[in-house]
Amino acid sequence: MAACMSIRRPMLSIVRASKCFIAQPVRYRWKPPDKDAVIFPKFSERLEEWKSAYEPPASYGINIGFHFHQDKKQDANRALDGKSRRDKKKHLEAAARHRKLRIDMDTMREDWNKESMPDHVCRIAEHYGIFHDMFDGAHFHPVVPLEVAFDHSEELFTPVCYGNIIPASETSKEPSIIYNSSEDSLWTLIMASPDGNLEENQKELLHWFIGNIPGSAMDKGEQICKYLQPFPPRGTGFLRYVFVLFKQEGKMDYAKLQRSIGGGSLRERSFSMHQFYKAHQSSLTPAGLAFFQSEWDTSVTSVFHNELDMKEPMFEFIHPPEYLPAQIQFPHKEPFNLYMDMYRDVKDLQEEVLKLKLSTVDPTKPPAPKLKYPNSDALPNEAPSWLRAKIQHQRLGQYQWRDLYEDRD
Amino acid sequence: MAGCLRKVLLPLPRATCNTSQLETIQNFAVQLKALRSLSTGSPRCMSTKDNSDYVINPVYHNRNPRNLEKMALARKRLGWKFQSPRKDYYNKLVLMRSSRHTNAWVEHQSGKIVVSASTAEHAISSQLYSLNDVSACENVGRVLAQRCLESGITEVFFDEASESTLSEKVSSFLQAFKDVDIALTEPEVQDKKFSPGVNYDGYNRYAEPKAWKEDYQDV
Repeated sequence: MAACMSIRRPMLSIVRASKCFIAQPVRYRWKPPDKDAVIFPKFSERLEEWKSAYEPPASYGINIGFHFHQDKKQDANRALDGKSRRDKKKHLEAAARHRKLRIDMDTMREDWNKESMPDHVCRIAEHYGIFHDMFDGAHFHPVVPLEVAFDHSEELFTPVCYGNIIPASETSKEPSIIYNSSEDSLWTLIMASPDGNLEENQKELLHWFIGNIPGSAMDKGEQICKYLQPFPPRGTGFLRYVFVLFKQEGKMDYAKLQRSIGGGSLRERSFSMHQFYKAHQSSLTPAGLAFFQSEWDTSVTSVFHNELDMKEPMFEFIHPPEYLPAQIQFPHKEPFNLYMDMYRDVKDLQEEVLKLKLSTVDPTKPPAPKLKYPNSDALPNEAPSWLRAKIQHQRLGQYQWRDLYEDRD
Repeated sequence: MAGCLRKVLLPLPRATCNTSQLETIQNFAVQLKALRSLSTGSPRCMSTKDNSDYVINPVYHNRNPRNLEKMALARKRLGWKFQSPRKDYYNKLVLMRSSRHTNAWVEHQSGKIVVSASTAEHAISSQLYSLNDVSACENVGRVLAQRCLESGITEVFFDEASESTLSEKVSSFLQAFKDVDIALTEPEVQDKKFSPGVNYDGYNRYAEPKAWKEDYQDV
């Protein structure tokens, strides 16, 4: 019986049916996919159907950056240098055998930047959806290592790598930016957040824009848009902030862009990297990438109040609703009050809770703390059992009554 | 609607601002503003700054594909109860030792490799004596842990059934993660706490007809 309902059995039955030309009846619990369809789709067909549900963005698979090729064979040869590894690394043997060999991370990082960094960072950026949301699916290898750091003092700084988490309070001042370049080359640096646009969620928010940077002298570039510190709103989780470094073919004219975004209000900062790149793609090539994630903390409140002159928004997560079977007139073995509550309008329920809450609130006093043993008081003797249960739920803050106490913890 | 974030209009505690109360609170705010401007005529209400007409979207969608995983709200694959290797993770830490190389990587539940470190990289192997001894494992662990932190991965799942943690190679590899405070277990998914009631005005699943699903017929 049970095996009859599994998905593999019908397949077998078809195989048998094709051999002896007798259709094996297949039983399903409720609705069969199609009674007349005897031939099930092939695996390849099912895979096609499954893949067609997800449509990648139009530019998916296009490389818009510089050419990057990693020659692994050459790396291996360079490591050995014609000798055997044992001979070449003889001086490290004692440390390795005594478990004291610890590689120097800075040297490793320098070598990694030359060797496989563009490939790795491209992979991580893909994973974080940077190319999907900002470049319409087109990708690039960040061949120029871009070092971005928020400096606090001469020794203390917070580096921006490729997705690391930085508290919002550490990003108040504009970061220092270092990359290697020849002096006659021109660069454009853009910092944008694909999640930071609170008005149009499908667009980015521009945080910083410097164009026509000669070499790596940031202060000699044209500042098209002033630095605005990240302000991830409360309850929204982790937002991405992306630095993209473009190499210019020649001097760019950003005067028109400066007129539209130079004001610096949030609406003017609404930005689409894809559209910008599309308009300038003949003279710009993305060469460097760095990004971080940031979450709400108390410093964001002051950014909203002082810098943006706005009320601070606050968000909460909407859980997807659960399945609820149709209401029946005589439910078997269901407590009538709880059963009826399940089918009440959520607004009515919350109104009831709010009214109860407001009846106990005294605006001149702070809210009373939640009791340690809220059910220790005697329940009314005369009350029926359903009412006693309701009072207990209210005291404990269970089910819809959770809202009575949630802010008192 | 699923997976979105709803805006709470006033900076009040979360519990006081539910769907039904949003409207009440919104109206209350308008009244309050009107009252203030009537009684004092203060210019504070008429903001002259740039953002006075900026409208914050009441339903905000965080497009960061990793956000819900970070907040432990995203769904995990369940797998079968005694299945090995386990499937219930967001990011899994894998150590693979071959006769020639030591490879380690962090694999996302979709099967993609997010971060990796290997002795096949010249950057690592140039400073090592052997490519598959204990110190190679330890150093690959250190490099991978560093790269995890740099890419925002602070919790990974390590399947202890896959590798004997008693082995010196594995334990020294894992120690590198413990040293930089990367948790080797992931947080449990935060499920919705039960609360009765149906939102009849918005999207609900009241008496939703059963749809044919390939996989879940016997559930």
